[in-house]
Amino acid sequence: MNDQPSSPSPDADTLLVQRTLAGDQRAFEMLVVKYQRRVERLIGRMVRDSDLVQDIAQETFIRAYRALGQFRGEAQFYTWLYRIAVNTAKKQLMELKRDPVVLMSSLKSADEDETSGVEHELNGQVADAETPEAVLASKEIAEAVNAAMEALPKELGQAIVLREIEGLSYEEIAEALDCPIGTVRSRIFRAREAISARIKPMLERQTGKRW
Amino acid sequence: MQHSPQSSTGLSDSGDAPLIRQTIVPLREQLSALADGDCLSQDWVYLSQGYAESGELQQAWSDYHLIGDALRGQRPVSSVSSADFLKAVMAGIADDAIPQPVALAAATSVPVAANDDVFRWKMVAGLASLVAISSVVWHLVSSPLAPAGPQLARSAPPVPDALQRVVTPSGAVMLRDAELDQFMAAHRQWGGMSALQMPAGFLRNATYENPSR
Repeated sequence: MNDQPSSPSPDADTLLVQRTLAGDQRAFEMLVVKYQRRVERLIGRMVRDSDLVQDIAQETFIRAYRALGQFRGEAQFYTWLYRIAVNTAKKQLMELKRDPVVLMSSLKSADEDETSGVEHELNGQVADAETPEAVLASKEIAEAVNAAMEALPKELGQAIVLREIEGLSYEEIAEALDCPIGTVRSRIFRAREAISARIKPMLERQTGKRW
Repeated sequence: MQHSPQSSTGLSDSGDAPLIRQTIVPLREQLSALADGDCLSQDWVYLSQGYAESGELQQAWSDYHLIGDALRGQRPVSSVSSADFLKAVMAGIADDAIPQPVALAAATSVPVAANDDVFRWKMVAGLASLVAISSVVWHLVSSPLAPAGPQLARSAPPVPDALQRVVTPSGAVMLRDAELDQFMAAHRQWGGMSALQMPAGFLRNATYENPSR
């Protein structure tokens, strides 16, 4: 493992956007894969119909691609994508004229989420787009991830928790754990690999149903 | 990088190239680092190529973010697989040109009016110009060449040499108009009222200059 100090790009999303603008559609694919679930969750709070959630999410990414040249990197990519998703959902729902009362209350709540930076479930304001099978699948994955976390060596578990839950950078984790950045990078990778191996059979079983 | 046909086949592709197989673990680690924003720009070329050719890497990229979502207690709501979703998105932009940064686009393009593509506006504008020009020409042609009335300003009037330089006791030079002074002397009532409750005559302004003590 290379523990030498490196000059990492400040933001992976910015790098992916730059690569997309340079003509590398792979980079945009990676952005889509990265944010698909998050965008779907966002739209799922506004829209009852799960099929419509999919349509709006896809339209969101298509619009984002076409407007990617306007992304200046001044804000986080997801903040920019969030606004496109909300606008796309509003436009699509207005066209469909579906339950405008629920629509407006839902959109208002979504805006508040952005302002506060907190993502929370709406309590009964909109119908949950998730089917019982989907809820069960999510629960299974969450349990598998938690079980895998408990089985991880302590140093790996600490590293990935600091990264994924606490949101610390590699530098901050290195300082917190008193180890080189390269070690942090390696520990987080190994933790992900261990968890991935644990949930892989489940994901394969669920392929075609959900993921 | 050109978007290969395999790129839109989703995350479950198999048959990774042998070269990629040998380097798959380092690439997975780089992919993990990229997920955290810790990817060197020079690593991107190899990583991108590996990602394009390896369904395993594509699956890993998806899994890493799924794990992160699960750890943060965020449940996905998708009823469509990532592969199908991605395929639909990439099909939607397949015919699109590569997006250009706004600054570059603005520098290379000429601003175009919003109604530029509406041809009838151009016709109306052209017709209006023609009517205006015709009207002016008709007016010139139909009017007599010689002026009908007296020409009031054939030449500029001579500048009266009525201004006189007056040196005040303090040494300042003032320009005085003798005719104006006479006129104002004859009509002191127009001079306005001063704080003395009487016409101020030529008093037009005041200064705050006090003699230094």
